[in-house]
Amino acid sequence: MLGRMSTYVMSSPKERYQNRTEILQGTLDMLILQTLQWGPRHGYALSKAIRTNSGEILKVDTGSLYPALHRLERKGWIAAEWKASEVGPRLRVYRLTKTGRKQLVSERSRWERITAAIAGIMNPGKKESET
Amino acid sequence: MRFPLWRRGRRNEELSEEMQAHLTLAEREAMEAGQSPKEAHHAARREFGNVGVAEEVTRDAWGWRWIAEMLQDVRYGVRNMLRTPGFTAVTILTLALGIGANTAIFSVVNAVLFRALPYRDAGKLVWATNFVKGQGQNLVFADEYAGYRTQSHVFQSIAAYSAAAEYTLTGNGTPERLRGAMVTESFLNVLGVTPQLGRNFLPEEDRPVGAKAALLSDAVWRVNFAADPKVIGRVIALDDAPYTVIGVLPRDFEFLDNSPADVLVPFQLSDSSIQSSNGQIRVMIQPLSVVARLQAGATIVGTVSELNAINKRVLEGLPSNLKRLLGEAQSQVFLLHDHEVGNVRPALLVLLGAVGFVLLIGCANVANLQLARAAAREREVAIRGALGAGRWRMARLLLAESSTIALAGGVAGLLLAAWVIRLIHRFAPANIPHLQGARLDVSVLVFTLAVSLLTGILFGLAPVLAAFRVSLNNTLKEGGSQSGTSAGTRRAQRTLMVAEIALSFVLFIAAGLLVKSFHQLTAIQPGFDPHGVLTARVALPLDQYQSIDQQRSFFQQLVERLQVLPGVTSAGATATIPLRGNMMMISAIQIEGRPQMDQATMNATTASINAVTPGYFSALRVPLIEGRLLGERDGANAPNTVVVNEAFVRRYFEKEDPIGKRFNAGMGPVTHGPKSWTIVGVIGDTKQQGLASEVMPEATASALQWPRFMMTLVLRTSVDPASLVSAVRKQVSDLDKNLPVYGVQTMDDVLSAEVASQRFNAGALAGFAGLAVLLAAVGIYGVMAYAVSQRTREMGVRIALGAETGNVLRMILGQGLRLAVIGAGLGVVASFGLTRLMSGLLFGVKTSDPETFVLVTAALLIVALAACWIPAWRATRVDPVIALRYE
Repeated sequence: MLGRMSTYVMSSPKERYQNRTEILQGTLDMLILQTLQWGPRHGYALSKAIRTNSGEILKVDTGSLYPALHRLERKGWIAAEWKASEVGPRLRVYRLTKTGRKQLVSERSRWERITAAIAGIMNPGKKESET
Repeated sequence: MRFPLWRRGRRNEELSEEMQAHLTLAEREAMEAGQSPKEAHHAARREFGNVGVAEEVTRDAWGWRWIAEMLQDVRYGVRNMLRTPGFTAVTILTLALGIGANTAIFSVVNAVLFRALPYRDAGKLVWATNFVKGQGQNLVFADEYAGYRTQSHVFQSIAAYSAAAEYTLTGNGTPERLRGAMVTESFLNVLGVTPQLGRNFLPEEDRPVGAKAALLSDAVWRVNFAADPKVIGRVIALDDAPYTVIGVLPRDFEFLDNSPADVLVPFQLSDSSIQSSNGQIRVMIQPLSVVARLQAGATIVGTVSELNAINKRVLEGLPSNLKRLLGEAQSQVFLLHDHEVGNVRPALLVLLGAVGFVLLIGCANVANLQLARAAAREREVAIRGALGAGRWRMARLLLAESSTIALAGGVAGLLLAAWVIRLIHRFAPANIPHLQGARLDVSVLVFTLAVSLLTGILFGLAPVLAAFRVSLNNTLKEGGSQSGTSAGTRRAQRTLMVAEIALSFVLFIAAGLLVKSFHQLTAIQPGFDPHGVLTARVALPLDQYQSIDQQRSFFQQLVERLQVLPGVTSAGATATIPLRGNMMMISAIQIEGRPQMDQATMNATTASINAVTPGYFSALRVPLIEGRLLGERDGANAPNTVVVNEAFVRRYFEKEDPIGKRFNAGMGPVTHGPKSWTIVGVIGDTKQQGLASEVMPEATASALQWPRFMMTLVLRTSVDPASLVSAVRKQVSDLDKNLPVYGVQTMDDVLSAEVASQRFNAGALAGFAGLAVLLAAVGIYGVMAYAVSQRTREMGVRIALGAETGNVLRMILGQGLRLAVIGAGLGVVASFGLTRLMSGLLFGVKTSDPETFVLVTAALLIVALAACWIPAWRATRVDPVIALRYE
């Protein structure tokens, strides 16, 4: 009886996750695309790669990672495929698609613009002397 | 990529697998880092977080969330329904009755009232007529039509037609009587109809004395001409005149005025009613109907004022005698759609309202059931609320449940409606135009879907509102005990019960009034005995039966032959048969020995005139009041004699004995016949123009002295009248094999058709009212039974303390009766307001008929009492010991 109700019962913790996803969304998408540029990966490997490459600073929550992966898949930027692994269970491996590659380029330039802008705000003197 | 919804199940499994793989990999890595399997397992879990939530937010990314949730709600609703099959069956049946009745009546209303007429841009079509005060005629004359055609600026196109034409088709196998219409060449253009084969009339075919052309209906083309496309150009004989077939009308073509048209011929109308031929001035008055297409921007009001102005100009140009005859006409213009369906609209709207009431009562019933159940489900609602379910989510769940039930009811209702529509096609009166279009089409299905969903929301709202009020603490604190119904729910149930009674009261009153009207109408004596009489029509072609002697001897011979047929007790022929209203009129009746009338009196002294063979009176059993009937001795060479009806005597012989008096009539069809008549007898009044109409003064002449070429045979039979049809046909064809017999009907059928619409209205509304009262009774029973079951303990205490059976019975019945009286009181008020809308459908009954109100009130209170009886009786049977242990 209770099990059936999980949808309603759990609505509030779920909302918490969704809020966090929203904040990270734009960046997380870019990070996933960027990481996949170096080759196809399954979900666990992706989260590990992001963590390692950020020097253990960015920890991607599974509750954000998998929705993001499935959303990017739906948009056609990445594609998924089941692959058998030597270690045991079969793995869902994601790879970057052609449109995903284009998307990464535009995301990257957007990100660069934003960081430059933020940098300009944070260091106003330096910016003025440059111009 | 979005995957199809039906692959969800597999997709869910894959998602779990993906998550599981993530966990396995993390676990393995932790073990490799030196943790124990158990530690590694927990670490991986901790790191991952809540698997269920992760899965769910991922599923949200698929974009099917709302559908998935809705499916879940519906699945839950279906499961709930299946858990209480009896409850569900009653609910679905109740809704099916309501929705089915609504769907059926809507399909009729949609076909008749809402669907556009089957003509191009039909909203621009208008129907025009002229009303002359005092004369009561609604007709346009050729002079006026010519004025409209040439002078008006409001019409894009205009056409005239006359629908009541009949032709005998010969030279094509068995002679056939066709119903047709005369139309101007512009007629089909105005309607925007193109023949499916051949062409429309040409202007030169529509001129007076133009070439004779004919357009055939699809049905005639298929039945009589085997759908032969080479029929175009063929010459056919209509009333023995040669007509060239120039085209075939489209299959779905419908003529105006709900009148069938087997064949259309050009009107060949002249622009004036005055014609001179052979140096003689003749006035040809040909009444016609006008249909026109409005110019863009033209209004009805503007059209009326322009036509009035033209009427005035036309009248000024006429010679004085014609001016008097036509009179100053007041133009009346209607949208063609209103003209076509206006007379059936009130009845159909009343029926639509009635089924709406039935559905509302059904909704109230179901809402009551749901309320009772909602009370039992309070704990479930409270638990869900406590576990964090939002109100909106809860409401959605409950509404999804009720909508699922309502849709199931809608599907069952559709089946019911299909059956009811068949019944309607069978029993509906012929005067409802476009009824054949009533079927379960897309718009009806959309209507049913909308009604079902609306119904679901309507009756589902009660438990939702109840759920919103549920106080979590109180309900949960009550522990395991079965909670009593809250005061709010009880009040809601009683309100619904009162509303049900009031609604069914209104329907009951409406049905009562219509049934009484029907009885009033059928109680009217038609003035003859209609049972066991066969009628059939014969029309002689005038070019072969030119002389009145030929006409006389034909019908004389025919009647003689019919008289001796086995099974025939008496036979006669008459120019007009009762109830049909096809009367010939005479005016300027000058009774001999009275002073010469002035002009005004001449116009006012009118009577209808009929011509019959002597057998007519005994065939219809028309009673003789005084004097004698017409007989064989009133032959061609005898003095001209008539019998008159009582209305004639009342009007013209107030204080005198009419027998033996002579009169002559200056105007009417008799101007070419006998000039003066002697009254030899007085007969009873027969309803010539319909049961509901006043009987006009009438004179009946002998067809031997005043022969007609078109007569209706009337045969009184000692056997089933229908069994004589072929014998009659044989006698006619023995005399002239080219003569068709048509309009074969028993007099009972004529009478039955006369009251058909009243019977249909009364029958349909009585059926719906019966359904409403039944539903209301079930509803009352449900509410009372539930109330009693909720008070079992109280009853037990009362009985334990010594309450008598009678006391308990009185208490419960009293409560039910009080609600019933309130409901009936509201019903009376509502009825006074609403029945006024149906005053046009009533005959001989006032909308506030006290007898109906008293009877209906009594009947409804008895039904309410009966519905309360079983619960009340059950309350008296409560065993105090068990009741006190209850809960």
